[in-house]
Amino acid sequence: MILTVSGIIAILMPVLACILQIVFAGFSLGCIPSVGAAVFAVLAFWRKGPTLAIVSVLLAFVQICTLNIVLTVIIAVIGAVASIFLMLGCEKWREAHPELTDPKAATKHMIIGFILPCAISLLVMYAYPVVRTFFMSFFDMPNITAPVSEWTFAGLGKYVKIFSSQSFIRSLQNMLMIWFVGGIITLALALLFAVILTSGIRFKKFFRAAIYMPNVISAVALATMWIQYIFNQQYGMLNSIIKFFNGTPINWLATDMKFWAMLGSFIFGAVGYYMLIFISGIEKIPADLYEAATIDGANKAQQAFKITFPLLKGVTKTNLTFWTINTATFYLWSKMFSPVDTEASVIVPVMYLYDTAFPSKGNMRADAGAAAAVGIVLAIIILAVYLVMNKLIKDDDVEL
Amino acid sequence: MAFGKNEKLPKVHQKINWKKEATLLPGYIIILVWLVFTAAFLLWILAASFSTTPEIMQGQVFKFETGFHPENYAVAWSQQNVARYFGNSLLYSITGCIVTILISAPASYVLSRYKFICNKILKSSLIIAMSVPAVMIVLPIYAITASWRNAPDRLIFTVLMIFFRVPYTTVFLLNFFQTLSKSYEEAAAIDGCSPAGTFWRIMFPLVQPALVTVTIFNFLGIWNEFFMALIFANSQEIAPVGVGLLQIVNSMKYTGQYGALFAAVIIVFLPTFLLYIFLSEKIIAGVTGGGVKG
Repeated sequence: MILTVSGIIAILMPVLACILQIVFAGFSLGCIPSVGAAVFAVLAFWRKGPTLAIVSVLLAFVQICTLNIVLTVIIAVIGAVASIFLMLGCEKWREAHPELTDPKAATKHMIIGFILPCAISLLVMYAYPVVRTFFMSFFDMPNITAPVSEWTFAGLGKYVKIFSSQSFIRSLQNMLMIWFVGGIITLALALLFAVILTSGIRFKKFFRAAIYMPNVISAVALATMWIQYIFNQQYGMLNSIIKFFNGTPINWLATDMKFWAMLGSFIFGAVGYYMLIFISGIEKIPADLYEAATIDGANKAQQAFKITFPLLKGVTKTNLTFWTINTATFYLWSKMFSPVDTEASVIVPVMYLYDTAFPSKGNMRADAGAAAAVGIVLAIIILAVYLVMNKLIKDDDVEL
Repeated sequence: MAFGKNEKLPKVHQKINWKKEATLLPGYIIILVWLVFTAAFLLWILAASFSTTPEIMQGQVFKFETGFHPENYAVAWSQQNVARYFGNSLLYSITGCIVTILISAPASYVLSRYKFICNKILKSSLIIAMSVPAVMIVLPIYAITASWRNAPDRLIFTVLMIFFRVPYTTVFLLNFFQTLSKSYEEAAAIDGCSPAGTFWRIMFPLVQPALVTVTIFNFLGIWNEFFMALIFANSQEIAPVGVGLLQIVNSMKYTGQYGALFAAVIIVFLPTFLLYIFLSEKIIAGVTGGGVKG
């Protein structure tokens, strides 16, 4: 009895999902779960796998949930009952099929069942979107949600368009400044802190934790603190210090200062992460090297320059790679420093992408193709830097 | 194991070697300047969250001339919608953390311990997926989710956050499953436990420390997510704390309640900060142990 009921549920749910999807929303990309559910239902009957049946019902369930709120509530109840039936059905089914206790078959089922959700997330969240972004960058489309049938081929037109755009060039310049100037300051500070913290000072763990702290708290909160307090013209920390020394207060958030204010506050938050990676690199260097150097009369600074830095090639590469990814996807701080209208002084490529895809002003037309082209350019930059880094800095020079 | 701490001999109570400390003095000074700066501005924000707007404007937050003003928190919590943002963020983070583990841990287990056709391909795709920037995927995902017109938006954003964390979580756990001894599985098989049962009953609890670490990172990641939230959870109803705080800052021009603004900042800042106070050792070990390969 239970076997029959759960079997019927496993067939009916995907069918129901398909019908409801077409009735409510028509045939579109949103059909993916229901199509998937149908595929799994077929697989379930072919392979006689209860796990597959459960997956199919879950997918059907997700599909129906996306359609209508009232339906969702009704379906939630049905779904709960259905899954209980299916579970019971599975137990019975196992008892009825002793050959399944054959470890090989059971292992196979487990591998499929365990890997599927992960593989689905990879396909839905990464593989398909990356491919579609790539194609979007060569097409012109009326809006971001337009179906493929409404796309018209534009060749390299979108790339030409973004590279002839004043704001995009400005955003690339800003990104380069952040990468170069910010990179030197951040990595130098991180290395300095790492060397100090590993030089045998007290309270090392506390200092390390305190310097890393800004990485853990919400960056929006951190940025708000900097903008509303430290850089504030009236009561801000920096201007209070300047006034204390009888200087003239500076408007830190004026157009010409804004970029540096943003970079400074960003660096403050970023240093801790790179410091941790440097520390882990330094701690891998064998202590006897330093002992030998001390016996030979080298002081701390000499030890740092002659032993520590040359042996940190590998972690420096890691840090540079992370820094590059971090600057290429830089967005939050720019947004916080120009929250309403994008300002040229702090614009970065991701911001340009966001404004192109989702324009906030009514008179601007969204250009999803150009936005996709920006994404592709950023991905190429990251990839190129990664490859160059791997060529230039080989970390197998020294075995640690 | 990436997590093993360097075992050190138990410290005998050492006398302070003043000569040695003196050579380290420049180091102490540099670190202390940085920390004093951090502490000073955090304390100022905390004090400002208990002050009135005129007091903040005059730069006199530490005097508390008119006493403490905890009502700033009440204003931020109810009038400025922080309660809703906070609830949304909690919902996204908690659901996200649990479901991510339920998807990633089994996948990571079979990937690290069983040989099958797509094993290598899947592993490398996971590592590639980890480094795919969000800008490469948001446009198509926006197109997909927009076609689900009637979908509850919170569900969509939660699912996105889960999928966003799956590659990192799976890769993070690979090493930990690899180090477990084969004899657990053999013993369980002899006792008649099914392979899947072996995983849930024996292997899953064994990697618990790693699960805790990766869950902390997932929680921080989802709590602090901003770019995706701005696109997929932008409306007042469903915004998480990051986007919510941005909306509060933007409305500051009209409301002018600086005390409440700083109270909102503290409310957003506090959960992850408290988490960090209790778990900083674990978080720091996780950054260098799990995030960096090699």
